[in-house]
Amino acid sequence: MGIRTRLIMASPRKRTEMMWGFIFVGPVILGILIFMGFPTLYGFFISTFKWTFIGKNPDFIGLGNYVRLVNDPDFLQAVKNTFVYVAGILVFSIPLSLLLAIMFNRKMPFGELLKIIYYLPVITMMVAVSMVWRWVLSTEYGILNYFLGFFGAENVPWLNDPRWAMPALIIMSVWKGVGFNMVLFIAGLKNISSMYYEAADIDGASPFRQFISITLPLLSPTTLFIALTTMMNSFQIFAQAKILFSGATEESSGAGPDNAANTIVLYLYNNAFKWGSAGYAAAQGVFLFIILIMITSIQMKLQKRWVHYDA
Amino acid sequence: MTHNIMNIKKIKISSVIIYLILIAGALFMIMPFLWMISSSFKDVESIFIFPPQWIPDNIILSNYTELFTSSYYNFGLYYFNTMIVVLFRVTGMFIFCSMAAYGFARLDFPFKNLLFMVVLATLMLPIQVLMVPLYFEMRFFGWINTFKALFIPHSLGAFGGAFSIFLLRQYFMALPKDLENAAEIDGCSIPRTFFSVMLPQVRTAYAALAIFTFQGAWNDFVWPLIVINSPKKYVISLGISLFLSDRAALTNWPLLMASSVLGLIPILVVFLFFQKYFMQNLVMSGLK
Repeated sequence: MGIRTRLIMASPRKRTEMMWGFIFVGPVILGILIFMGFPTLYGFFISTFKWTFIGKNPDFIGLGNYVRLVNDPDFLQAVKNTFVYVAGILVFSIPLSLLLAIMFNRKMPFGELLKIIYYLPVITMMVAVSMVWRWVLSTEYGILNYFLGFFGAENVPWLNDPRWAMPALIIMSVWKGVGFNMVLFIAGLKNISSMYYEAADIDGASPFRQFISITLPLLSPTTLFIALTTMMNSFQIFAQAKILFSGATEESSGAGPDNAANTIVLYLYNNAFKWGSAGYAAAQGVFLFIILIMITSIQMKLQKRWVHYDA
Repeated sequence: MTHNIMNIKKIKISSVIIYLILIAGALFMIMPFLWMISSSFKDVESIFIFPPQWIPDNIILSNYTELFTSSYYNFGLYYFNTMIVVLFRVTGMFIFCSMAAYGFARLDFPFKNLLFMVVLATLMLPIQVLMVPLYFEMRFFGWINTFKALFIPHSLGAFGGAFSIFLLRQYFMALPKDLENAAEIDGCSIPRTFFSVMLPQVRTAYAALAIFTFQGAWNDFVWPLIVINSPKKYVISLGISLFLSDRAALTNWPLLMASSVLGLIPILVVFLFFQKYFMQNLVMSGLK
């Protein structure tokens, strides 16, 4: 039924409700179209031009920027770094936050206070804590190397050596984000009925066995949600890399030694706002957009398949 | 009997071990903050004393005063600017996002579900992807270096504002339909029902969302970085990142740490007072 027929057929009362409905959601819909819908399309448009910030007449070059993308070693390295970073976060942050949640899932003195401490980094400003971590990770005077020294480790050049750039970023980001996933896991664990564990106890199943056969499957909706949101967020990594690595070398691009800390968004930002290649940067935005769309569609597919919702 | 006692003992020992692990982890988590605060009260010489001093022999405040009074940094102004942005964003969110949330939750109109899907879809689309087109759009609007750019899009549901709509909608949907029916019998119009009857019912949601919005606005970095380049309009995160453009200042660790303390204090205070709301928001977002 078309909107016009529905309007004509509706009672006056219904019609007032429709009118107010549109008035209530109107501003937000308009805002989303202006600030998100249009820029999305405009981004595709810009990406087909050789477009600079000062130049008057952008040249249409079709897929030229995309051809440049796949042939640009710096971009390919940024993509590789970003994937390494995302993988690192998934491998370390998620099991760690699940472990913490399981450890917290019991009564203990000052348990709430401890949880708050783990959650503290989550709420803090990324720029400020990244500055703090510059200092924490300092090779000679940093507190991390100082503590590692107790275990006999030599000073690690976290921010000055290409090999250590990604580990440094991952350590800092795990510290920043682990409390977030932990709180979600704690909520997920609370939703599992204790009935299952009581039954397993009667059957004599070991705690490990119970974890594998009860906790993990019933926690799968939470785990899936956490894994995918963590991925989405990690692909957008920008501020940490920019703050940790800017100024460490002569080039203040924040890409780190030998571009070892360059990420997709950082490279996009530098291309656009440092080197003025707006068209090329827009193409990188489209590239990231496609990655995020792919993650979202995986999420939708998986939700139907292997997740157990009967907790 | 003996079996039972042994079991209890075993549980106790494992609990103690777990507890100790959690405490050790918590120390690791809080260490950077303590290190930051300690460093911010040191002078440029004592910062390099090895092994590090947790409580400096010589506690100085000059790093903080310098941030407020030097000609290069003006953290008083950055605080003021940030507060303006926070205030406008929270107010705008209260007005427009709650209207939309109510519309989606309780009113019936054509294309409602489709429009709601559009709102939700924006949560998948971060600013990072749209940096370039958004910059050109802001330049076209003449919004570069204005506060307008820092709060209007968010108030209108863009840039993650959709999350507020989503959350408030859940609250509105949970209210009994009787409320509106009673208001209608009393002759209340729809906007009147919304303002006088329904809004007061979701006050707790507002507290949680105000804090959530405050957090987002206070910590925001990427968006101000793109649209603000005049130091007069800097928010606090840009003020801190100012150090990046000055290689000499980058090694002035006490000053840097003091600026980080300034960036973190307000949000930490808000968090410690209202921490249940922070986690409540998070849990609701994840499991609905």
